[in-house]
Amino acid sequence: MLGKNIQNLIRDMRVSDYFFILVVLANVLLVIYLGIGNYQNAAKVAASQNNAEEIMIWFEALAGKLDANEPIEPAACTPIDEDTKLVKGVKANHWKNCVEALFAAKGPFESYVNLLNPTGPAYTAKCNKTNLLNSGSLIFEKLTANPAGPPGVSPLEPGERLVSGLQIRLSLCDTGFYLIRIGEFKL
Amino acid sequence: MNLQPISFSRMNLHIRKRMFDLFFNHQIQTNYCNQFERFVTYMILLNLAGLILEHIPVVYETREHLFHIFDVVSLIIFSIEYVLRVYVAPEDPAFSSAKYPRLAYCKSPFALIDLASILPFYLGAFFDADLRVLRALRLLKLCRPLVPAVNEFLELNKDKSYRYKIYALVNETPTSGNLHHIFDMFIVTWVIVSVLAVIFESVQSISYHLHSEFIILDTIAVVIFSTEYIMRIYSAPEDPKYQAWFKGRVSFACKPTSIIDFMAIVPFYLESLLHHLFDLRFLRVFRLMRLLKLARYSGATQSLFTVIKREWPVMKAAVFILLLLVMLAACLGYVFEHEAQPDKFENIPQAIYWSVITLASVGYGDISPITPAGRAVTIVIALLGIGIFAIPAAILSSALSDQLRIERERMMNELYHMLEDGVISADEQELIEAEAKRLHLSKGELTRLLEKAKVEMGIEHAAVKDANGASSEMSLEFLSKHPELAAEQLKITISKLQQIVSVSDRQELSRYIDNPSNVTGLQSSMLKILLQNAAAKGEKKD
Repeated sequence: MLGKNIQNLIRDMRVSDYFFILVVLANVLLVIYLGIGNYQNAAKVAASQNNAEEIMIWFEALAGKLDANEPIEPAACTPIDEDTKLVKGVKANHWKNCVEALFAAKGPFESYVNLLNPTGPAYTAKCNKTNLLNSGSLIFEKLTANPAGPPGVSPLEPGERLVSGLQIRLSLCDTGFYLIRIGEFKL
Repeated sequence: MNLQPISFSRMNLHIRKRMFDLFFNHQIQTNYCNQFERFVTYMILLNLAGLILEHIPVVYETREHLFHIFDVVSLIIFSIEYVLRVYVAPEDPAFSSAKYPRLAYCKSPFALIDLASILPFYLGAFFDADLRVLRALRLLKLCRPLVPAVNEFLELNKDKSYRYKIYALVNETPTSGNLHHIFDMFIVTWVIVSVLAVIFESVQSISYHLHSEFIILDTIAVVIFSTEYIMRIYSAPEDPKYQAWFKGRVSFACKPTSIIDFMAIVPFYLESLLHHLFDLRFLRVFRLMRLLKLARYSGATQSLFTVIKREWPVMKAAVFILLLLVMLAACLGYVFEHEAQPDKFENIPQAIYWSVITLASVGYGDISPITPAGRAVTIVIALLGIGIFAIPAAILSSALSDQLRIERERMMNELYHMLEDGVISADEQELIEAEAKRLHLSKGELTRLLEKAKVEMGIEHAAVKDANGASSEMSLEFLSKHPELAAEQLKITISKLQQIVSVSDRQELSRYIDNPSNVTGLQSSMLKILLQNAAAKGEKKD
């Protein structure tokens, strides 16, 4: 009965009805095509999140290595103690050197690429919507303790001295230039 | 000796009939057939949700045992359903004429689907293979309510054009049938699902793990809503108000509900196509506009819009007074406070913000007066604000209750009109129930209104219903006004008399009526006719 009814339905169709079906199908195909594009981006974001988590794990292990007096590779990422920073003649590492060493050739994350924008930077100071290449980049931010409320967040400047206890937040710059928070760690 | 097997067989037949009537007989209105089917449908949807969630590691890995318990419970329910359907198959008119009704049922497409939905689990006990994915076959069970609805819809719209069929599917028409309700339910479900997805997507801890799943959900929602939108636009000329093929469609597209439909899908296209050119983050929030699509399915929003439209002149006057007060308070605040607090009362627009917050009794406290004159003004405007801000709210609430009263009166008038012939037909009953649902009337309230209408129409005792809801007696006064109903009542009474005579001992009855002290002449003649009739029937049978 259903088959017969459907046969009747198709038999009585006019040109405009076929055009309507064509429009519906075209729209469905377009949405699926755009959806697949969005999904692929989402998959890249998920992969970037996993990569960023590995960076987080590396930084979290840093504190343990320091406690155990193990050598840190790259050495540019070794922070100095709060007390030693006041000692004259002791030079602290700068964030710029550390992050460059991490992502440089032979660094622990040399294979890391910005999956959303392969031509874009692997890391940047700010998720800036005016620079479209920023999406997919890692964002390192400095957290400053605030006794009155949540900690203050500011971009981690290249010249920032690496001192033990420095709190850093790692985020990922999303396709829509939203920050996806990966986690926080202490040097 | 044979008494026990016979009684067992009878009992079995009785139970089977009772089971069929209770859960599977669509002809009976007061049974649990609809509830049972709805329950099974919900179970199918929950199974589908479970199947999807099982493929999300972060959800499944920590709750594996819960999924297993749910799966076992579902299997038990679906197995019971299958066994019950096989058991009552001989009672089903579709299979009762077959030589082996149960076998005929088992070979039917629906039964095969039912079997396919439970078989993978049982097979899993014999084969070492992961057949869980076959549970997706349970989705096919949804065909059970869908196929009859599609058939009914195509039958009702047999002679109608294809465009009208689309129109009848997306809009309530006399030929829409059950398929339209299923379509509405489907859209409402997806609106709720997609809005929940938008809300949960904003929660970082959820979005972090389920970002891809939200993308899939949004894409499916847009496929559904955009198809619905195109269907509505295409079929718009079937509505007499939008008959012109182009102009009509444009006018239809400019309707508030159509704009809402459009706003619900357009962010997806814009964001997907133009995200690399512009910052379109703000468009994501517009996906919440999908919630407004529900307005189409609720009479409450319709009533609210009617009220606002009707009370617009009064509302305008109230808003005008409100604006005057706000401006006056802002100016006074600026005059008295500007010198003392130039950073807070920097200009009149800032003072307007302060006056609105004070008049509305919100009082954030971020801007507050410090001069004595400013404080005095604040006291006055705060007191005035309580009354003035309440005016539009009071107008709206009284107008809304007025609107409800008007709509109920309209329904009462319809009831009077329906009761003009003294009875409410099945179609009329359906219309009343639909209207009661729209007005959010409870069953008790509807019965009360019906009783009231009957009393006012003077037919309160016209039909006395017995415990089973069947009409038994009509008042003489009512029958005197309705000769055709009086004739029907007489016919029923004669049939009842015939039944009584047929089950009685005819010889005893004859002896009884032969005694003139027992019956009058008329009663005796009538009973004799009935006895003769019964005797003639008995001879014929022999």
